[in-house]
Amino acid sequence: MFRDITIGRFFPGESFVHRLDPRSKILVVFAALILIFLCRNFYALGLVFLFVLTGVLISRLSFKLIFSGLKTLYIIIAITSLLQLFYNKQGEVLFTWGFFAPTDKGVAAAVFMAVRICSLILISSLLTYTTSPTLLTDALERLLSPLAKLKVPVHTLAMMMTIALRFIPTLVDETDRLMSAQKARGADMETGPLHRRAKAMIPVLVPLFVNAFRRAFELAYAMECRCYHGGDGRTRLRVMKLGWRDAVTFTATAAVAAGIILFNIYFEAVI
Amino acid sequence: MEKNSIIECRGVSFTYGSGTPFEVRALDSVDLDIEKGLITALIGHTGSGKSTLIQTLNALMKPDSGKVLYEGADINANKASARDVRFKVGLCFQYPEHQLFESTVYKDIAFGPKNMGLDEASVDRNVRDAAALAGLDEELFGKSPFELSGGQKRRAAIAGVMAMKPEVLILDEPSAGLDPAGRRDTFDMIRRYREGTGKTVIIVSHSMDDVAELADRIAVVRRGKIAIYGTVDEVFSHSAEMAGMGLSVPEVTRITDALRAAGVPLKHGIYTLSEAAEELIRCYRQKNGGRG
Ligand SMILES: Nc1ncnc2c1ncn2[C@@H]1O[C@H](COP(=O)(O)OP(=O)(O)O)[C@@H](O)[C@H]1O
Ligand SMILES: [Mg+2]
Repeated sequence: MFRDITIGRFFPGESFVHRLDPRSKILVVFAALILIFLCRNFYALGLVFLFVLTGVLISRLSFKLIFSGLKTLYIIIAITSLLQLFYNKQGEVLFTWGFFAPTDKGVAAAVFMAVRICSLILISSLLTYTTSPTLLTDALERLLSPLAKLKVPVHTLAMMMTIALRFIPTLVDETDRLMSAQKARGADMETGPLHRRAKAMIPVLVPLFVNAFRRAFELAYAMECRCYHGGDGRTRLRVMKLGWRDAVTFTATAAVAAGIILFNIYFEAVI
Repeated sequence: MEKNSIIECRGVSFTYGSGTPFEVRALDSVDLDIEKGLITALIGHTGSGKSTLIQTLNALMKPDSGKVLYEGADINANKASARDVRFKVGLCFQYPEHQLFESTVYKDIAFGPKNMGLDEASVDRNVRDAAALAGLDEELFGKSPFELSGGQKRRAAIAGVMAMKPEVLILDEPSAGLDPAGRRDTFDMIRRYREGTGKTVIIVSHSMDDVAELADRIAVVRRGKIAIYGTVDEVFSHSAEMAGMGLSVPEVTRITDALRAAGVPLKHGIYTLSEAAEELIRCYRQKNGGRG
Protein backbone atom coordinates (compact mmCIF):
# COMPACT_ATOMS: atom_id res chain seq x y z
CA MET A 1 0.00 0.00 0.00
CA PHE A 2 2.75 2.48 0.91
CA ARG A 3 4.93 1.28 -1.92
CA ASP A 4 2.90 3.02 -4.58
CA ILE A 5 3.84 6.46 -3.31
CA THR A 6 6.37 7.88 -5.74
CA ILE A 7 6.88 11.33 -4.23
CA GLY A 8 10.39 11.68 -2.87
CA ARG A 9 11.70 8.61 -4.64
CA PHE A 10 14.83 8.48 -6.69
CA PHE A 11 14.88 7.02 -10.20
CA PRO A 12 18.48 6.47 -11.34
CA GLY A 13 19.43 7.55 -14.84
CA GLU A 14 22.08 9.04 -17.06
CA SER A 15 20.32 12.08 -18.46
CA PHE A 16 21.49 15.69 -18.54
CA VAL A 17 19.40 16.41 -15.46
CA HIS A 18 20.72 13.40 -13.58
CA ARG A 19 24.27 14.47 -14.24
CA LEU A 20 23.92 18.08 -13.17
CA ASP A 21 25.80 18.96 -10.03
CA PRO A 22 23.30 18.45 -7.21
CA ARG A 23 24.20 21.85 -5.79
CA SER A 24 23.15 23.58 -9.01
CA LYS A 25 20.00 21.52 -9.07
CA ILE A 26 19.07 22.69 -5.60
CA LEU A 27 19.85 26.31 -6.43
CA VAL A 28 17.97 26.23 -9.73
CA VAL A 29 14.93 24.56 -8.20
CA PHE A 30 14.98 27.09 -5.39
CA ALA A 31 15.19 29.92 -7.94
CA ALA A 32 12.39 28.36 -9.99
CA LEU A 33 10.13 28.12 -6.94
CA ILE A 34 10.61 31.84 -6.34
CA LEU A 35 10.07 32.63 -10.02
CA ILE A 36 6.83 30.64 -10.08
CA PHE A 37 5.51 32.82 -7.27
CA LEU A 38 6.68 35.99 -8.97
CA CYS A 39 4.65 35.35 -12.14
CA ARG A 40 1.79 37.80 -12.51
CA ASN A 41 0.33 36.79 -15.88
CA PHE A 42 -0.02 33.89 -18.27
CA TYR A 43 2.97 34.89 -20.42
CA ALA A 44 5.32 34.77 -17.46
CA LEU A 45 3.76 31.60 -16.05
CA GLY A 46 3.85 29.99 -19.48
CA LEU A 47 7.55 30.68 -19.69
CA VAL A 48 8.26 29.05 -16.33
CA PHE A 49 6.00 26.14 -17.15
CA LEU A 50 7.89 25.65 -20.41
CA PHE A 51 11.15 25.72 -18.48
CA VAL A 52 9.88 23.07 -16.04
CA LEU A 53 8.52 20.94 -18.89
CA THR A 54 11.86 21.11 -20.70
CA GLY A 55 13.51 19.85 -17.54
CA VAL A 56 11.05 16.95 -17.34
CA LEU A 57 11.59 16.13 -21.03
CA ILE A 58 15.38 16.01 -20.89
CA SER A 59 15.33 14.04 -17.66
CA ARG A 60 13.88 11.16 -19.76
CA LEU A 61 11.58 10.17 -16.91
CA SER A 62 8.35 8.71 -18.17
CA PHE A 63 5.42 11.13 -18.19
CA LYS A 64 3.28 8.46 -16.62
CA LEU A 65 5.60 8.40 -13.64
CA ILE A 66 5.78 12.17 -13.28
CA PHE A 67 2.03 12.59 -13.42
CA SER A 68 1.38 9.69 -11.09
CA GLY A 69 3.28 11.83 -8.56
CA LEU A 70 0.71 14.57 -9.14
CA LYS A 71 -2.16 12.17 -8.58
CA THR A 72 -2.18 12.51 -4.80
CA LEU A 73 -2.32 16.29 -5.19
CA TYR A 74 -5.13 16.48 -7.74
CA ILE A 75 -7.55 17.14 -4.91
CA ILE A 76 -5.58 20.13 -3.65
CA ILE A 77 -5.35 21.50 -7.18
CA ALA A 78 -9.08 20.98 -7.70
CA ILE A 79 -10.04 22.64 -4.43
CA THR A 80 -7.81 25.66 -5.03
CA SER A 81 -9.24 26.15 -8.52
CA LEU A 82 -12.82 25.68 -7.36
CA LEU A 83 -12.34 28.28 -4.63
CA GLN A 84 -11.28 30.76 -7.30
CA LEU A 85 -14.37 29.94 -9.37
CA PHE A 86 -16.69 30.41 -6.40
CA TYR A 87 -15.22 33.38 -4.63
CA ASN A 88 -13.44 35.47 -7.20
CA LYS A 89 -16.01 38.18 -7.93
CA GLN A 90 -13.87 40.40 -10.16
CA GLY A 91 -14.63 40.85 -13.85
CA GLU A 92 -17.75 39.87 -15.76
CA VAL A 93 -20.05 37.10 -14.69
CA LEU A 94 -20.09 34.35 -17.31
CA PHE A 95 -23.26 32.58 -16.20
CA THR A 96 -25.18 32.03 -12.97
CA TRP A 97 -26.39 28.72 -11.65
CA GLY A 98 -27.76 29.13 -8.16
CA PHE A 99 -25.08 30.89 -6.19
CA PHE A 100 -22.39 29.57 -8.53
CA ALA A 101 -21.49 32.56 -10.69
CA PRO A 102 -18.01 32.27 -12.15
CA THR A 103 -16.48 35.40 -13.64
CA ASP A 104 -14.02 35.55 -16.51
CA LYS A 105 -11.30 36.69 -14.14
CA GLY A 106 -12.24 33.89 -11.78
CA VAL A 107 -11.81 31.29 -14.53
CA ALA A 108 -8.48 32.81 -15.50
CA ALA A 109 -7.34 32.77 -11.88
CA ALA A 110 -8.46 29.15 -11.45
CA VAL A 111 -6.47 28.03 -14.48
CA PHE A 112 -3.56 30.16 -13.30
CA MET A 113 -3.53 28.53 -9.85
CA ALA A 114 -3.74 25.04 -11.30
CA VAL A 115 -0.79 25.62 -13.63
CA ARG A 116 1.18 27.24 -10.83
CA ILE A 117 0.67 24.34 -8.42
CA CYS A 118 1.51 21.82 -11.14
CA SER A 119 4.73 23.67 -11.93
CA LEU A 120 5.68 23.76 -8.26
CA ILE A 121 5.16 20.05 -7.84
CA LEU A 122 6.80 19.10 -11.12
CA ILE A 123 9.98 21.06 -10.49
CA SER A 124 10.38 19.82 -6.93
CA SER A 125 9.70 16.21 -7.83
CA LEU A 126 12.17 16.56 -10.69
CA LEU A 127 14.82 17.31 -8.07
CA THR A 128 14.10 14.27 -5.91
CA TYR A 129 13.42 11.94 -8.83
CA THR A 130 16.80 12.61 -10.43
CA THR A 131 19.06 13.03 -7.40
CA SER A 132 19.92 10.29 -4.95
CA PRO A 133 19.07 11.23 -1.35
CA THR A 134 22.71 10.95 -0.31
CA LEU A 135 23.84 13.35 -3.00
CA LEU A 136 21.05 15.68 -2.09
CA THR A 137 22.01 15.95 1.56
CA ASP A 138 25.66 16.09 0.61
CA ALA A 139 24.95 19.06 -1.64
CA LEU A 140 22.83 20.72 1.02
CA GLU A 141 25.65 20.33 3.49
CA ARG A 142 28.02 22.07 1.13
CA LEU A 143 25.62 24.85 0.29
CA LEU A 144 25.07 25.46 3.99
CA SER A 145 28.69 25.04 5.03
CA PRO A 146 29.23 28.79 5.54
CA LEU A 147 26.82 28.47 8.47
CA ALA A 148 29.32 26.21 10.23
CA LYS A 149 31.27 29.39 11.00
CA LEU A 150 28.28 30.51 13.03
CA LYS A 151 28.56 27.25 15.01
CA VAL A 152 25.58 25.64 13.27
CA PRO A 153 26.29 21.87 13.28
CA VAL A 154 25.82 21.56 9.53
CA HIS A 155 27.62 18.25 9.16
CA THR A 156 25.71 16.60 11.98
CA LEU A 157 22.39 17.81 10.63
CA ALA A 158 23.24 16.58 7.15
CA MET A 159 24.33 13.19 8.50
CA MET A 160 21.08 12.88 10.45
CA MET A 161 19.14 13.70 7.31
CA THR A 162 21.11 11.21 5.23
CA ILE A 163 20.48 8.44 7.73
CA ALA A 164 16.80 9.32 8.07
CA LEU A 165 16.33 9.28 4.29
CA ARG A 166 18.27 6.06 4.00
CA PHE A 167 15.96 4.32 6.44
CA ILE A 168 12.63 5.48 5.09
CA PRO A 169 12.38 2.66 2.51
CA THR A 170 13.55 0.17 5.11
CA LEU A 171 10.84 1.25 7.52
CA VAL A 172 8.22 1.21 4.79
CA ASP A 173 9.19 -2.34 3.81
CA GLU A 174 9.24 -3.40 7.41
CA THR A 175 5.81 -1.91 8.11
CA ASP A 176 4.44 -3.81 5.16
CA ARG A 177 6.01 -7.04 6.31
CA LEU A 178 4.88 -6.65 9.91
CA MET A 179 1.33 -5.90 8.81
CA SER A 180 1.35 -9.06 6.72
CA ALA A 181 2.85 -11.09 9.55
CA GLN A 182 0.25 -9.95 12.05
CA LYS A 183 -2.54 -10.38 9.54
CA ALA A 184 -1.35 -13.94 9.12
CA ARG A 185 -1.97 -14.33 12.86
CA GLY A 186 -5.49 -13.09 12.39
CA ALA A 187 -5.04 -9.40 13.20
CA ASP A 188 -7.79 -7.39 11.57
CA MET A 189 -6.65 -3.90 10.65
CA GLU A 190 -9.15 -3.11 7.96
CA THR A 191 -12.59 -3.45 9.46
CA GLY A 192 -14.28 -2.13 12.55
CA PRO A 193 -14.50 1.35 14.08
CA LEU A 194 -11.51 3.67 14.04
CA HIS A 195 -10.43 3.14 17.66
CA ARG A 196 -10.41 -0.64 17.12
CA ARG A 197 -8.34 -0.28 13.98
CA ALA A 198 -5.93 2.03 15.80
CA LYS A 199 -5.57 -0.56 18.54
CA ALA A 200 -4.98 -3.24 15.93
CA MET A 201 -1.88 -1.30 14.87
CA ILE A 202 -0.12 -1.93 18.21
CA PRO A 203 1.21 -5.34 17.12
CA VAL A 204 2.79 -3.53 14.15
CA LEU A 205 4.06 -0.40 15.90
CA VAL A 206 5.73 -2.08 18.87
CA PRO A 207 8.02 -4.34 16.83
CA LEU A 208 8.57 -1.50 14.34
CA PHE A 209 10.03 0.68 17.11
CA VAL A 210 11.93 -2.16 18.74
CA ASN A 211 13.54 -3.03 15.42
CA ALA A 212 14.25 0.62 14.58
CA PHE A 213 16.14 1.04 17.86
CA ARG A 214 18.01 -2.21 17.31
CA ARG A 215 19.03 -1.00 13.87
CA ALA A 216 20.02 2.41 15.18
CA PHE A 217 22.33 0.82 17.77
CA GLU A 218 23.84 -1.50 15.18
CA LEU A 219 24.47 1.43 12.85
CA ALA A 220 26.04 3.46 15.66
CA TYR A 221 28.37 0.58 16.55
CA ALA A 222 29.28 0.07 12.89
CA MET A 223 30.06 3.76 12.49
CA GLU A 224 32.18 3.82 15.62
CA CYS A 225 34.04 0.71 14.52
CA ARG A 226 34.99 2.62 11.41
CA CYS A 227 36.23 5.52 13.54
CA TYR A 228 33.51 7.94 12.56
CA HIS A 229 33.94 11.05 14.68
CA GLY A 230 31.83 13.73 13.03
CA GLY A 231 32.67 16.29 10.41
CA ASP A 232 36.03 17.72 11.47
CA GLY A 233 38.89 16.79 9.18
CA ARG A 234 36.90 14.41 7.01
CA THR A 235 37.65 14.30 3.32
CA ARG A 236 35.16 13.30 0.69
CA LEU A 237 34.75 10.32 -1.56
CA ARG A 238 32.93 12.34 -4.19
CA VAL A 239 34.29 15.73 -5.06
CA MET A 240 31.65 17.89 -6.68
CA LYS A 241 32.73 20.01 -9.59
CA LEU A 242 30.68 22.39 -11.65
CA GLY A 243 30.79 21.70 -15.38
CA TRP A 244 29.38 22.90 -18.70
CA ARG A 245 25.99 21.44 -17.89
CA ASP A 246 25.75 23.63 -14.86
CA ALA A 247 26.79 26.69 -16.88
CA VAL A 248 24.08 25.96 -19.46
CA THR A 249 21.48 25.48 -16.77
CA PHE A 250 22.39 28.65 -14.90
CA THR A 251 22.25 30.65 -18.13
CA ALA A 252 18.86 29.22 -19.01
CA THR A 253 17.54 30.01 -15.55
CA ALA A 254 18.84 33.56 -15.74
CA ALA A 255 17.20 34.00 -19.15
CA VAL A 256 13.89 32.71 -17.81
CA ALA A 257 14.14 35.05 -14.84
CA ALA A 258 14.79 38.02 -17.12
CA GLY A 259 11.88 36.97 -19.35
CA ILE A 260 9.52 36.76 -16.39
CA ILE A 261 10.48 40.19 -15.13
CA LEU A 262 9.92 41.65 -18.60
CA PHE A 263 6.57 39.91 -19.06
CA ASN A 264 5.47 41.01 -15.63
CA ILE A 265 6.24 44.61 -16.56
CA TYR A 266 4.79 44.64 -20.07
CA PHE A 267 1.63 42.58 -19.66
CA GLU A 268 -1.35 43.07 -17.42
CA ALA A 269 -1.49 41.01 -14.24
CA VAL A 270 -4.06 38.21 -13.95
CA ILE A 271 -3.99 37.90 -10.20
CA MET B 1 -8.44 -37.28 -7.65
CA GLU B 2 -5.86 -39.84 -6.68
CA LYS B 3 -3.72 -37.22 -5.00
CA ASN B 4 -5.18 -35.81 -1.84
CA SER B 5 -4.35 -32.14 -2.28
CA ILE B 6 -5.20 -29.59 0.38
CA ILE B 7 -3.95 -26.53 -1.51
CA GLU B 8 -3.83 -26.18 -5.27
CA CYS B 9 -2.27 -23.34 -7.25
CA ARG B 10 -3.59 -22.95 -10.75
CA GLY B 11 -1.59 -20.62 -13.00
CA VAL B 12 -0.76 -18.23 -10.19
CA SER B 13 1.08 -15.09 -11.33
CA PHE B 14 2.16 -12.11 -9.29
CA THR B 15 3.99 -8.91 -10.24
CA TYR B 16 5.38 -6.37 -7.77
CA GLY B 17 4.99 -2.70 -8.60
CA SER B 18 3.27 -3.22 -11.92
CA GLY B 19 3.25 -0.03 -13.98
CA THR B 20 6.36 1.42 -12.31
CA PRO B 21 9.98 1.20 -13.44
CA PHE B 22 10.53 -1.24 -10.56
CA GLU B 23 8.26 -3.93 -11.97
CA VAL B 24 9.28 -7.44 -10.91
CA ARG B 25 7.47 -10.55 -12.07
CA ALA B 26 7.85 -12.66 -8.94
CA LEU B 27 5.52 -15.54 -9.87
CA ASP B 28 4.95 -16.72 -13.39
CA SER B 29 1.94 -18.98 -13.76
CA VAL B 30 2.70 -21.40 -10.95
CA ASP B 31 0.93 -24.75 -10.78
CA LEU B 32 1.47 -26.62 -7.55
CA ASP B 33 -0.42 -29.15 -5.43
CA ILE B 34 0.30 -29.37 -1.74
CA GLU B 35 -0.54 -32.88 -0.53
CA LYS B 36 -2.43 -33.29 2.70
CA GLY B 37 -0.52 -34.50 5.73
CA LEU B 38 2.90 -34.27 4.14
CA ILE B 39 5.84 -31.97 4.67
CA THR B 40 6.55 -30.11 1.44
CA ALA B 41 9.75 -28.14 1.09
CA LEU B 42 10.05 -25.18 -1.26
CA ILE B 43 13.63 -24.64 -2.21
CA GLY B 44 15.23 -22.15 -4.53
CA HIS B 45 17.67 -19.32 -4.79
CA THR B 46 17.16 -16.01 -3.02
CA GLY B 47 14.74 -13.98 -5.14
CA SER B 48 13.25 -17.01 -6.87
CA GLY B 49 9.81 -16.18 -5.51
CA LYS B 50 9.38 -18.57 -2.58
CA SER B 51 8.23 -15.97 -0.07
CA THR B 52 5.85 -14.46 -2.59
CA LEU B 53 4.40 -17.87 -3.38
CA ILE B 54 3.62 -18.75 0.23
CA GLN B 55 1.94 -15.39 0.77
CA THR B 56 -0.48 -16.18 -2.01
CA LEU B 57 -1.36 -19.45 -0.24
CA ASN B 58 -3.10 -17.71 2.65
CA ALA B 59 -4.53 -14.78 0.67
CA LEU B 60 -2.10 -12.18 2.04
CA MET B 61 -1.32 -11.54 -1.61
CA LYS B 62 -3.90 -11.83 -4.29
CA PRO B 63 -2.56 -13.29 -7.52
CA ASP B 64 -2.78 -11.04 -10.60
CA SER B 65 -4.09 -14.04 -12.46
CA GLY B 66 -4.74 -17.65 -11.60
CA LYS B 67 -6.38 -19.20 -8.59
CA VAL B 68 -5.41 -20.65 -5.24
CA LEU B 69 -7.78 -23.35 -4.05
CA TYR B 70 -8.04 -24.55 -0.46
CA GLU B 71 -9.86 -27.88 -0.34
CA GLY B 72 -11.22 -27.07 -3.77
CA ALA B 73 -12.58 -23.59 -2.97
CA ASP B 74 -11.08 -20.35 -4.26
CA ILE B 75 -9.59 -18.57 -1.25
CA ASN B 76 -9.89 -15.16 -2.88
CA ALA B 77 -13.60 -15.58 -3.64
CA ASN B 78 -14.52 -12.82 -1.16
CA LYS B 79 -13.16 -10.91 1.84
CA ALA B 80 -14.53 -13.37 4.37
CA SER B 81 -12.95 -16.37 2.69
CA ALA B 82 -9.64 -14.53 2.52
CA ARG B 83 -9.69 -13.96 6.28
CA ASP B 84 -10.96 -17.45 7.07
CA VAL B 85 -8.15 -19.09 5.18
CA ARG B 86 -5.59 -17.36 7.42
CA PHE B 87 -6.75 -19.47 10.34
CA LYS B 88 -6.53 -22.65 8.30
CA VAL B 89 -3.24 -21.83 6.62
CA GLY B 90 -0.89 -20.48 9.29
CA LEU B 91 2.04 -18.54 7.91
CA CYS B 92 5.17 -17.83 9.88
CA PHE B 93 7.33 -15.21 8.21
CA GLN B 94 11.09 -15.18 7.95
CA TYR B 95 12.79 -13.93 11.16
CA PRO B 96 9.47 -14.24 13.05
CA GLU B 97 11.16 -13.11 16.27
CA HIS B 98 11.08 -9.58 14.85
CA GLN B 99 7.31 -9.53 15.14
CA LEU B 100 7.04 -10.31 18.86
CA PHE B 101 5.26 -7.45 20.57
CA GLU B 102 3.34 -8.47 23.70
CA SER B 103 4.44 -7.85 27.26
CA THR B 104 4.76 -11.54 28.07
CA VAL B 105 5.59 -14.68 26.15
CA TYR B 106 2.23 -16.19 27.06
CA LYS B 107 0.27 -13.23 25.70
CA ASP B 108 2.29 -13.21 22.51
CA ILE B 109 1.62 -16.86 21.79
CA ALA B 110 -2.06 -16.30 22.65
CA PHE B 111 -2.43 -13.45 20.11
CA GLY B 112 -3.35 -15.73 17.18
CA PRO B 113 -5.78 -18.02 19.04
CA LYS B 114 -7.48 -14.96 20.57
CA ASN B 115 -7.96 -13.44 17.13
CA MET B 116 -9.66 -16.65 16.11
CA GLY B 117 -12.28 -15.94 18.74
CA LEU B 118 -11.60 -19.05 20.84
CA ASP B 119 -12.81 -19.12 24.44
CA GLU B 120 -10.34 -18.65 27.28
CA ALA B 121 -9.96 -22.34 28.06
CA SER B 122 -9.19 -23.27 24.44
CA VAL B 123 -6.75 -20.39 24.11
CA ASP B 124 -4.97 -21.59 27.25
CA ARG B 125 -4.85 -25.17 26.00
CA ASN B 126 -3.53 -24.11 22.57
CA VAL B 127 -0.85 -21.91 24.11
CA ARG B 128 0.36 -24.66 26.43
CA ASP B 129 0.37 -27.23 23.63
CA ALA B 130 2.33 -24.94 21.33
CA ALA B 131 4.81 -24.02 24.05
CA ALA B 132 5.36 -27.71 24.77
CA LEU B 133 6.05 -28.35 21.08
CA ALA B 134 8.41 -25.40 21.07
CA GLY B 135 10.21 -26.73 24.12
CA LEU B 136 9.49 -23.53 26.01
CA ASP B 137 9.23 -23.99 29.78
CA GLU B 138 6.07 -22.71 31.38
CA GLU B 139 8.19 -20.62 33.71
CA LEU B 140 9.11 -18.48 30.70
CA PHE B 141 5.45 -17.56 30.19
CA GLY B 142 5.62 -14.49 32.42
CA LYS B 143 8.82 -13.17 30.90
CA SER B 144 9.01 -10.45 28.28
CA PRO B 145 9.63 -12.01 24.88
CA PHE B 146 12.45 -9.51 24.41
CA GLU B 147 14.39 -11.12 27.27
CA LEU B 148 14.60 -14.55 25.63
CA SER B 149 17.67 -15.87 23.84
CA GLY B 150 17.76 -15.76 20.04
CA GLY B 151 16.75 -19.40 19.59
CA GLN B 152 14.03 -19.14 22.23
CA LYS B 153 12.61 -16.02 20.60
CA ARG B 154 12.43 -17.83 17.28
CA ARG B 155 10.67 -20.80 18.84
CA ALA B 156 8.26 -18.57 20.77
CA ALA B 157 7.37 -16.78 17.55
CA ILE B 158 6.80 -20.05 15.68
CA ALA B 159 4.73 -21.27 18.63
CA GLY B 160 2.55 -18.19 18.14
CA VAL B 161 1.54 -19.57 14.74
CA MET B 162 1.34 -23.21 15.85
CA ALA B 163 -1.02 -22.17 18.65
CA MET B 164 -3.61 -21.42 15.99
CA LYS B 165 -3.48 -25.15 15.11
CA PRO B 166 -3.64 -24.44 11.40
CA GLU B 167 -4.44 -27.27 8.99
CA VAL B 168 -1.43 -26.15 6.96
CA LEU B 169 1.58 -24.65 8.69
CA ILE B 170 3.90 -22.64 6.47
CA LEU B 171 7.33 -21.58 7.69
CA ASP B 172 9.55 -19.22 5.73
CA GLU B 173 13.21 -20.12 6.26
CA PRO B 174 12.63 -21.25 9.84
CA SER B 175 16.31 -21.87 10.51
CA ALA B 176 17.78 -18.74 8.88
CA GLY B 177 20.38 -17.04 11.01
CA LEU B 178 20.43 -19.67 13.78
CA ASP B 179 23.43 -21.62 15.07
CA PRO B 180 23.48 -25.41 14.54
CA ALA B 181 21.87 -26.08 17.91
CA GLY B 182 19.13 -23.54 17.21
CA ARG B 183 18.53 -25.08 13.79
CA ARG B 184 18.20 -28.54 15.28
CA ASP B 185 15.77 -27.29 17.92
CA THR B 186 13.68 -25.60 15.27
CA PHE B 187 13.52 -28.66 13.03
CA ASP B 188 12.77 -30.93 15.99
CA MET B 189 9.93 -28.62 16.79
CA ILE B 190 8.52 -28.86 13.29
CA ARG B 191 8.87 -32.63 13.31
CA ARG B 192 7.10 -32.88 16.67
CA TYR B 193 4.29 -30.68 15.36
CA ARG B 194 3.80 -32.89 12.34
CA GLU B 195 3.96 -36.12 14.27
CA GLY B 196 1.73 -34.83 17.05
CA THR B 197 -0.99 -33.37 14.85
CA GLY B 198 -0.66 -35.05 11.46
CA LYS B 199 -1.20 -31.66 9.80
CA THR B 200 0.29 -30.45 6.56
CA VAL B 201 3.53 -28.49 6.70
CA ILE B 202 5.30 -26.36 4.09
CA ILE B 203 8.81 -25.17 4.77
CA VAL B 204 10.80 -22.73 2.69
CA SER B 205 14.52 -23.19 2.67
CA HIS B 206 17.56 -22.85 0.54
CA SER B 207 19.50 -25.51 2.37
CA MET B 208 19.24 -28.98 0.88
CA ASP B 209 20.71 -30.56 3.96
CA ASP B 210 17.85 -29.22 6.05
CA VAL B 211 15.04 -30.33 3.81
CA ALA B 212 16.43 -33.75 2.95
CA GLU B 213 15.92 -34.89 6.53
CA LEU B 214 12.49 -33.43 6.97
CA ALA B 215 10.56 -33.28 3.73
CA ASP B 216 8.31 -35.79 1.99
CA ARG B 217 8.01 -33.67 -1.14
CA ILE B 218 10.29 -31.06 -2.62
CA ALA B 219 9.33 -28.28 -5.01
CA VAL B 220 12.23 -26.46 -6.60
CA VAL B 221 11.32 -22.85 -7.38
CA ARG B 222 13.19 -21.06 -10.09
CA ARG B 223 12.50 -17.58 -11.45
CA GLY B 224 8.91 -17.63 -10.32
CA LYS B 225 8.14 -21.11 -11.65
CA ILE B 226 8.13 -24.61 -10.20
CA ALA B 227 11.12 -26.18 -11.95
CA ILE B 228 11.03 -29.65 -10.35
CA TYR B 229 8.49 -31.27 -8.06
CA GLY B 230 8.57 -34.72 -6.54
CA THR B 231 9.72 -36.91 -3.70
CA VAL B 232 13.14 -36.37 -2.20
CA ASP B 233 14.57 -39.20 -4.32
CA GLU B 234 13.01 -37.93 -7.51
CA VAL B 235 14.20 -34.39 -7.00
CA PHE B 236 17.74 -35.28 -6.00
CA SER B 237 18.05 -37.58 -8.99
CA HIS B 238 18.05 -34.36 -11.04
CA SER B 239 21.29 -33.37 -9.38
CA ALA B 240 22.91 -32.07 -12.58
CA GLU B 241 19.90 -29.88 -13.36
CA MET B 242 19.89 -28.60 -9.79
CA ALA B 243 23.57 -27.78 -9.93
CA GLY B 244 22.77 -25.65 -12.97
CA MET B 245 20.38 -23.67 -10.77
CA GLY B 246 23.03 -23.14 -8.17
CA LEU B 247 21.42 -25.68 -5.86
CA SER B 248 23.36 -28.70 -4.79
CA VAL B 249 22.36 -32.03 -3.33
CA PRO B 250 23.07 -32.44 0.40
CA GLU B 251 26.64 -32.57 1.61
CA VAL B 252 26.37 -36.26 2.64
CA THR B 253 25.03 -37.18 -0.79
CA ARG B 254 28.03 -35.58 -2.42
CA ILE B 255 30.41 -37.40 -0.09
CA THR B 256 28.76 -40.80 -0.51
CA ASP B 257 28.62 -40.29 -4.30
CA ALA B 258 32.34 -39.57 -4.27
CA LEU B 259 32.97 -42.68 -2.16
CA ARG B 260 30.94 -44.78 -4.58
CA ALA B 261 32.92 -43.39 -7.48
CA ALA B 262 36.05 -44.37 -5.58
CA GLY B 263 34.82 -47.96 -5.40
CA VAL B 264 32.97 -48.22 -2.10
CA PRO B 265 29.76 -50.15 -2.88
CA LEU B 266 27.34 -47.72 -1.26
CA LYS B 267 23.74 -47.60 -2.42
CA HIS B 268 22.37 -44.64 -4.36
CA GLY B 269 20.25 -41.95 -2.83
CA ILE B 270 21.69 -41.27 0.58
CA TYR B 271 20.43 -37.93 1.83
CA THR B 272 20.81 -37.93 5.57
CA LEU B 273 23.63 -38.46 7.99
CA SER B 274 21.98 -41.43 9.70
CA GLU B 275 21.35 -43.18 6.37
CA ALA B 276 25.00 -42.66 5.46
CA ALA B 277 26.18 -44.04 8.78
CA GLU B 278 24.00 -47.16 8.43
CA GLU B 279 25.14 -47.74 4.88
CA LEU B 280 28.82 -47.32 5.78
CA ILE B 281 28.48 -49.80 8.64
CA ARG B 282 26.77 -52.27 6.29
CA CYS B 283 29.59 -51.97 3.75
CA TYR B 284 32.19 -52.31 6.45
CA ARG B 285 30.60 -55.50 7.78
CA GLN B 286 30.23 -56.92 4.27
CA LYS B 287 33.86 -56.24 3.51
CA ASN B 288 35.04 -57.98 6.67
CA GLY B 289 32.90 -60.99 5.81
CA GLY B 290 30.46 -60.32 8.60
CA ARG B 291 33.14 -60.38 11.28
CA GLY B 292 33.22 -56.61 11.97
N1 LIG C 1 7.83 -6.11 -1.54
C1 LIG C 1 8.45 -6.23 -2.70
N2 LIG C 1 8.46 -5.24 -3.61
C2 LIG C 1 9.06 -5.37 -4.80
N3 LIG C 1 9.69 -6.47 -5.20
C3 LIG C 1 9.73 -7.51 -4.35
C4 LIG C 1 9.11 -7.45 -3.05
N4 LIG C 1 9.31 -8.63 -2.42
C5 LIG C 1 10.01 -9.38 -3.28
N5 LIG C 1 10.27 -8.73 -4.43
C6 LIG C 1 10.97 -9.27 -5.59
O1 LIG C 1 10.28 -10.42 -6.03
C7 LIG C 1 11.18 -11.47 -6.34
C8 LIG C 1 10.86 -12.69 -5.51
O2 LIG C 1 11.10 -12.40 -4.16
P1 LIG C 1 10.82 -13.41 -2.98
O3 LIG C 1 9.48 -14.01 -3.16
O4 LIG C 1 11.08 -12.68 -1.71
O5 LIG C 1 11.94 -14.51 -3.21
P2 LIG C 1 12.59 -15.55 -2.20
O6 LIG C 1 11.74 -15.63 -0.99
O7 LIG C 1 12.66 -16.81 -2.98
O8 LIG C 1 13.96 -15.04 -1.88
C9 LIG C 1 12.56 -10.91 -6.10
O9 LIG C 1 13.09 -10.53 -7.34
C10 LIG C 1 12.35 -9.72 -5.21
O10 LIG C 1 13.31 -8.74 -5.47
MG1 LIG D 1 12.29 -15.21 1.00
